[in-house]
Amino acid sequence: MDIVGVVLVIISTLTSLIAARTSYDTFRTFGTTFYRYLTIALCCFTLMPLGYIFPLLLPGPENQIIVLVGMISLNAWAYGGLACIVGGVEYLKDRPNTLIIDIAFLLAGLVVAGRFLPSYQEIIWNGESWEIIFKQPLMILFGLFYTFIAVSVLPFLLLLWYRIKTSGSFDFRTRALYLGTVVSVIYSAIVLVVNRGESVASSIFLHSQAYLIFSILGTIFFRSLLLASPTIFFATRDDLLYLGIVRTRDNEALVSYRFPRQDKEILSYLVTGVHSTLNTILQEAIQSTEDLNQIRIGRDVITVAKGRRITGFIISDREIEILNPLLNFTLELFERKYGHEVLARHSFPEFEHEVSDIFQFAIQSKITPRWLNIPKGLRKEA
Amino acid sequence: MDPVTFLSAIIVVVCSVLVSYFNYRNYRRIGTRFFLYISISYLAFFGWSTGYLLQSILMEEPYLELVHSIASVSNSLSWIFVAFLITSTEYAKKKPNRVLIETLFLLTGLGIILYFEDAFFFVEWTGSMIRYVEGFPIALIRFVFMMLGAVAVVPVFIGIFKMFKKNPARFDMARKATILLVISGVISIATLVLAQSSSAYWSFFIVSAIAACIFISSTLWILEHHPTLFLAARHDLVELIIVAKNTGLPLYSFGFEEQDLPINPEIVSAFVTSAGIALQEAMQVKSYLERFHFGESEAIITEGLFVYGIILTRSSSDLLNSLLKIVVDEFEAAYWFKISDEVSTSDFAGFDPLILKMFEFDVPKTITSAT
Repeated sequence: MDIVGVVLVIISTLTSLIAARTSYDTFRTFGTTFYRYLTIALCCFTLMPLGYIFPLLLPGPENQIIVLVGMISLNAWAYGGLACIVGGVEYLKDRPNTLIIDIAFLLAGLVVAGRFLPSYQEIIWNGESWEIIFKQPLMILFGLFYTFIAVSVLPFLLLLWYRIKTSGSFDFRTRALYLGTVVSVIYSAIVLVVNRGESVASSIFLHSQAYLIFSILGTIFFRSLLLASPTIFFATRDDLLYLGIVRTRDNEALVSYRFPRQDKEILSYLVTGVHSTLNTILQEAIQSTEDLNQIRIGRDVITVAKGRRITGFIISDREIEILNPLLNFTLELFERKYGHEVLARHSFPEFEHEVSDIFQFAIQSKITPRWLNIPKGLRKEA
Repeated sequence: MDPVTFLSAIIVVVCSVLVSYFNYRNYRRIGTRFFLYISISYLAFFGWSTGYLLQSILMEEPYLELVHSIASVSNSLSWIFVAFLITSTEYAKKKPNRVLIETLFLLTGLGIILYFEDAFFFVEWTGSMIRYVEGFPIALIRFVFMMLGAVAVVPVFIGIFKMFKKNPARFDMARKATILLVISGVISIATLVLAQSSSAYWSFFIVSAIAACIFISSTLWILEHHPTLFLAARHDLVELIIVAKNTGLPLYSFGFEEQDLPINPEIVSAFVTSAGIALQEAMQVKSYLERFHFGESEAIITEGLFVYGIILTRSSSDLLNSLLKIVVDEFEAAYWFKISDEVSTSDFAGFDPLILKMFEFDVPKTITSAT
């Protein structure tokens, strides 16, 4: 029995499970499609390494069927996980293309089925260890699938790295965690792809160990990244324009925060005034009990949320799923800190630093991120 | 060569190209993904039927291997056809179920690969014809597919038939075409499924091809006369208002509900137009208002040269935006010479038939009979 292999499989399963839990918490907090796909993908990656347990624990040709079925049926989850990654990344883009997600799942289905066909691969006992040999049709399917994943995911990850690096708003640790995650994922993918080649493929032990080490590192980096800066995947340099908080009672502007790209002064009292009037009229007309929560004017989108005594809005130049929970959190934080002063004071310039922290992913300046953990209040709100 | 099958296959091939084209044309015009996915599905259907066409030409023993290869490729396209068809019906609903769609595509991949494995799919020469043999896994995946298909398709047709019930007079022909479409579709699928392991394969195929032709003809008729029919289950429209840009007064309004709007359309139009101007001022932008969201409910606004079009709805979709643009263009083309004059709303009553055609999926019976 390969003790190192078994230990690696256990560690890999545990780290993936913990990362999946963190991702699920982040999904509960922000509720975006990206985190939903990510959580499902990580659950799939938790099952995947367990497949290696069979060849590690069951030596000898008499166990061939159990090894074959056990390994493949658990390994196959990884392909579904990779298709989910494509789905998640697609929903981070400006215009998600569902056709790309559909093709990713179609290719995943092809590869999964291919792995179950006896004529597409062989697992043989060479006297010392198990060897896996992939035949040409399966190699072609792998080639198609991995190329599609790489083409649909990698350019975006590189673009994201460029945004993170040039924005200057993420500290060294966060940047290193992002880079570590991406490099580990790419490296483990390379190990997987290279080991598909018949000439290179040696024993399953060697293959799984090399793959598992980078997979473990990737999930550890990724989880730390999610905890350190959960919004980093939404990093952008110029999509957010303005954030305003006004007192609901008299439309007095309490906070006016201009994001770096915005050079014009926004008349926030007019925005919230229009919101409150339209809310009343249209609610009555449509007989809706819900509040007006989004206004689209040309390319610009105004996301509106209401607190107990205040109303907040963000102007962005495209629809961004994560803005609504972040705006709710901002209002909650404001009311928690200044709830008793809302009626007495006219402006809260010091709150702009909190805004910089929360919307760190959209700011191009050197600041120290203090928002290191997902606040409990926001979790409750979501 | 089998001339009867060859002829049936040619008809199906031509029809599938036509359906794909007409759906793509609707997608370009109306812009909803429903039409795009149907267009793609019929492209796959075209590939599938082309496979049958080739097989009918090569129906001889020496071509056994070639027919096997063609059948593997063309039959795999059948899975893609069904996957995209079911996906399109998901896009005809208020909220597409992405989990269902992704499961479907995963299964499509599983199904396709089985056609390339000799253990599950092979051909044999019976002495007079080439016969196809499919293994259990293919039948199993087909069964799962059909169940998923039923889950996706049945609610759409329930929505359509409910709409027919609301307006029996208006949808008389459409109802007949839809019934024909459903029956021919079921026969087409059933005969194909029965044919898979039957020695009378080609007889089943001919019946299936004839049914497919009827199915495709009904689809084409519906697409031409009732382009938005399949989107019946998607909307809950409240009111459509067309407002003069220069005065902010409503020129035309159309209510989609049995009871009148609780607020006068004049008040709604005045507030919406002044809100648009105020927001332009507040944000220092030139663009005009496009949408207001209230959770699921929405107010959609489209700007024309002389008028604004406003739709109030309880469930939103991009389809409404495209239809509103068409309505505003048509309104300006029909009444541009009247818009700047002092006119009453009754002067535009002749515009009702266009609204009834474009938004027929949500017009109540009382309004149809009144107009």
